[in-house]
Amino acid sequence: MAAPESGDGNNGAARMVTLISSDNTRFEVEAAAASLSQTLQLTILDGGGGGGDGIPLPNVDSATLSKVLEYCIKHAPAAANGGAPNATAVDRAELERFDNEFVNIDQSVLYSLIMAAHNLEIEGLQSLVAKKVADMIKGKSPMEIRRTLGFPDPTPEEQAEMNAHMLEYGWAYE
Amino acid sequence: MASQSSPRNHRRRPRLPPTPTDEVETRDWAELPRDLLLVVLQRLDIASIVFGAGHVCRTWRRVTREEPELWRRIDIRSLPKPAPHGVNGSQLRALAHTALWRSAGRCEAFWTKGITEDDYIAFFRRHTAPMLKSLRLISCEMSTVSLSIDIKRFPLLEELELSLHSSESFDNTYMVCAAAAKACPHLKILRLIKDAGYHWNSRVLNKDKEAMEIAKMRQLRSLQLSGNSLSNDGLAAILGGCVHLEFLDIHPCFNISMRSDSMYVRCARIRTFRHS
Repeated sequence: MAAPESGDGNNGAARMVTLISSDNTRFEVEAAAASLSQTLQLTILDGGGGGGDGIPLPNVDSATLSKVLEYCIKHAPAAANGGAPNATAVDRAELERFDNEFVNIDQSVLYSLIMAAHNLEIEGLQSLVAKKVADMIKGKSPMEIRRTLGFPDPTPEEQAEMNAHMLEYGWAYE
Repeated sequence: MASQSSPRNHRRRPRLPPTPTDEVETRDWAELPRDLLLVVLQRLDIASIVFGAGHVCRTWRRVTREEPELWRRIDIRSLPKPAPHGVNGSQLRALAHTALWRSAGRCEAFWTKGITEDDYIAFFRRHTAPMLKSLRLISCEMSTVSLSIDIKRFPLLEELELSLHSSESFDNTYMVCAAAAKACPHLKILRLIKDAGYHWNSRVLNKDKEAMEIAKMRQLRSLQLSGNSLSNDGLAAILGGCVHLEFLDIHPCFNISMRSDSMYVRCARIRTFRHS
């Protein structure tokens, strides 16, 4: 997991920061990985998160944070190379494979992830999850989308409303 | 969003992700913040929004109706196959109207296939699209008369594609070119495709009518003419007028003769040149 520290050239050993999830779990992670988050990057540049302090993340629980960091660690080396213009095709294919597998998870986890990516401003993660969710609902009827994303069953009122709107297009479903 | 669970596992470093089983609360996609929902919806084709996502719940319905951003690029060239919504002609029209209406005048690209003159009139006289930059009407049955009148309403147009089926309309396309040359100073890409092999007929009286109008499009970078009647004179006019031209495809246009070397020399500055 060692990220090459060539870009900055300011230190040999990778700098570590501590992040604290909403349920008080502490995660120690390389600053380069955590800095994929625009929000954290500012704090880290200010020297935050080092020593025993830790950066509290009251909106992210430990399960989600762990998943977020898995993404950041994997993507940090490429991000350090400025979007990796000289990355090999193999590297890119490997990242793509990782991404595909990474979002192959339950919708409720996707929800937590996209919220966390949004709060922490991790652009790449946010669009990765958004794309996955879009793929999951593409070409589906409203009812199928509700099922896919774990919406509760519609109340009769909601159902009637949906049907009325769909009839506008000459198409009723189910 | 914080889930309250006991801090059981004090990890020093994240290793394999714990499978979030026991502490997952039911997340409510209906409560997704508006800008995040937009990030998801922007990745959908418009049929999936109009017939699917737009009806999932009240919040989603409101966002899909109120956000012109989602409707800036209206691409209904191909529609999802049967899906839950086996889209037919009238639904395609409904789709175009819905999208144009919701774009609230901010549509920048409108791409469609197989529409008629009546459809065109219904779309663009009932809705306005003053920001339109790209208009692609593919395999259409149009006389293009209304388009030649209307094109001044798209002053920002940068890309125009007309691919036509019916030969009755072929004679009128020069009017579209004339109007566009006058009203669309930013036009960079023009594709004019006539599907039938009619117009290269050598008996056509004024073979270069259209080419002479195209030659007035000073900013043109890319030009594709297919089944066009233009001759070497017309091509020379285009080369003289469209000084920025980089891409030129005139295949097949059978009134062009590339037998003389001089024509090759004149075309030498074009980066990509395709001909019959």
